[in-house]
Amino acid sequence: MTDTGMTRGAAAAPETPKNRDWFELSVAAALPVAIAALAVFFYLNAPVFMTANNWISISVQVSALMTISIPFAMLLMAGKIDLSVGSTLALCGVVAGLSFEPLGIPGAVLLTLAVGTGVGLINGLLVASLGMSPIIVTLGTLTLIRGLAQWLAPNPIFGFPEEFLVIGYERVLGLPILTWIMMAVIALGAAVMALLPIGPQIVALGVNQRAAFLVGLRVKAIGIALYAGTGFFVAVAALMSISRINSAPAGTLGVGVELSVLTAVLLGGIPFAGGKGSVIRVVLGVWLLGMLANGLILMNVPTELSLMTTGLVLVVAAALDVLRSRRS
Amino acid sequence: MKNMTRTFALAMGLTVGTLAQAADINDVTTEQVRAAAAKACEGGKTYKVAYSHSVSEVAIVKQVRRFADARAADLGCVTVLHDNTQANNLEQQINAIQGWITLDVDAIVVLPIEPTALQPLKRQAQAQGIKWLTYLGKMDGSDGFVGFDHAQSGQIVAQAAVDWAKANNVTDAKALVTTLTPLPPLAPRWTEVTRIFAENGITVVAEQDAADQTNGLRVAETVLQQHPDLDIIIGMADDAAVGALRAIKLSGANGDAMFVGGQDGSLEGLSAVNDGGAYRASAAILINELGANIVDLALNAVRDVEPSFAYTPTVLASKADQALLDKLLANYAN
Repeated sequence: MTDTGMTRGAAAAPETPKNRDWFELSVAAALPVAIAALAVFFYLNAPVFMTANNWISISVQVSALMTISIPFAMLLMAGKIDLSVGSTLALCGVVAGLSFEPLGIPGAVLLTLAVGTGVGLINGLLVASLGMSPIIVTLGTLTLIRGLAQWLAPNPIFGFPEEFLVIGYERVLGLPILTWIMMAVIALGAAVMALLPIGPQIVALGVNQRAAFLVGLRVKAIGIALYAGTGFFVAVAALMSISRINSAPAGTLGVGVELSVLTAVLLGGIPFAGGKGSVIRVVLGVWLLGMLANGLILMNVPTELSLMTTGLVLVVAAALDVLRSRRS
Repeated sequence: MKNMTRTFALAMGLTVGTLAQAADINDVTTEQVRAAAAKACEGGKTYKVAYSHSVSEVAIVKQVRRFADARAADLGCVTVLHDNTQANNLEQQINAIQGWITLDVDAIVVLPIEPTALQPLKRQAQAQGIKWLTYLGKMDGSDGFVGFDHAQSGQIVAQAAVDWAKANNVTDAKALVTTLTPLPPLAPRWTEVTRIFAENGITVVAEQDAADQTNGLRVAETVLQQHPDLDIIIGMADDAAVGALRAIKLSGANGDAMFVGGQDGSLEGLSAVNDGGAYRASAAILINELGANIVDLALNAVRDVEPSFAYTPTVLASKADQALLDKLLANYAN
């Protein structure tokens, strides 16, 4: 009986617009606040964390992940998913590594981008055009493409042309090229979502695909384009990765990337079912993961504790998302 | 459960011979293994040996497989079956082994991802007359062991780093050691390094998991931010050390004043050693001998001849012994 009373009491509490505003604000601020709090925590434990060099280092470390996460987030907003991004990264890395010698750098880069886009296109056709389950299709291509990469390169490919490797270490206007590429992808993603008509259409697909079709949206074309775009940017990320490590190990390159991307995107507040989201929040999600990894290494925290901390952050983010959903 | 396993092993008559062989394992030479297996094909008998590695996607494992196949082809009476277990996926490994038991192969050589989970399969195989050998990891009651000594690997590369520090008058040296804590059987690769470093006044400022190039680069890059005066980086695998070497180059640190060492003797690691510079050593397994040992030790176990337990030697690959380095690199020439 007491419970009922309490529930009644709670239910009776008026949810004024002011209360709602405060709640929305606090949930919206949770990620930036978490980043700020973590930054302070790491700074107190490892002062080098707050140096410009270290932040540039973080930006380079998350650059490939970010480059994949932005189109991946748009895909998820549309209610789709691509679990094959890690394998596609490996395949693109291997293709680039194998083609530098016969095709030269421009040819290898173009071929790599074409392969990434092609893989995305196949995923898109299967999912958006034939209506197959995105999870099953991309789980299949995850395995298929990893196998293909390993078949193409049973031995490690390494030692790429120096003119290509400059992408991995050269700086322009004080920032690494990789950081510039990452920022360009963020700007492009934000512009597409905020300025172009396709932005709201992507979200509309995630809210209700049937309704989107009925109001005249080109549901299939948008879906295919999103998958192809994701594949393209995975290829870009592959080029970024192999220019950093000067190697394209088919067996280990990109392993687990799909989970990291998914974690970052969910941290950024995009629900698994899609239908809403913000590119900027995804950027914060990726940055939070990068900061966590960097700070924990600087503090020399044992791996088990690192895993627990990262997991805890994700659970907290999920809890915030549930709270927000319930209130809305 | 453990008692039940022991009782079962005793009932199968396995334990006495197994322990006797295991006690002398360090004294077994490669020549002894080869000589015992050389007669396997006499009498026209043929054999099927199945081999499961937990990370078949790794390049060095593919080379080991190639050498196992080559040895089988040399002998002429052996077929080696390989599985597709990747990323330490226990379910994949169990499925493959179940298939081999159904096929009634003569011997199964397995790197046990989780020995406890494989015990029922081991019992089933042995009850069916299939010999059960482990590779790297050990299991009670096995019929053979294809090993290489992780402790020896760690000791070799650590000692090389200590020698380098002494020869170059590096005092109060600081080191980064990469680990792979989810795989405890590999722990001597880093625990031996940290032990030897502690004995020689080298401070390990960071121990972090990294086994591949990407993570080796990320970890080393970050640790170099905190410790720009880092002197030594030891990778638990060559791949991690190769990534760390890249971090040194990208960060602009002075590689000439640093020591990077790896373990395994992978092609990238050996090539980095051969190139000179900061990558000065790899504790290299003789992968040609290791591949051959998979076949030979399995044949010895099937034919109940000794030895069926042996370690494959690990050697120091460095510029100081160019001939050995060239020989190790030649193993990768297809």
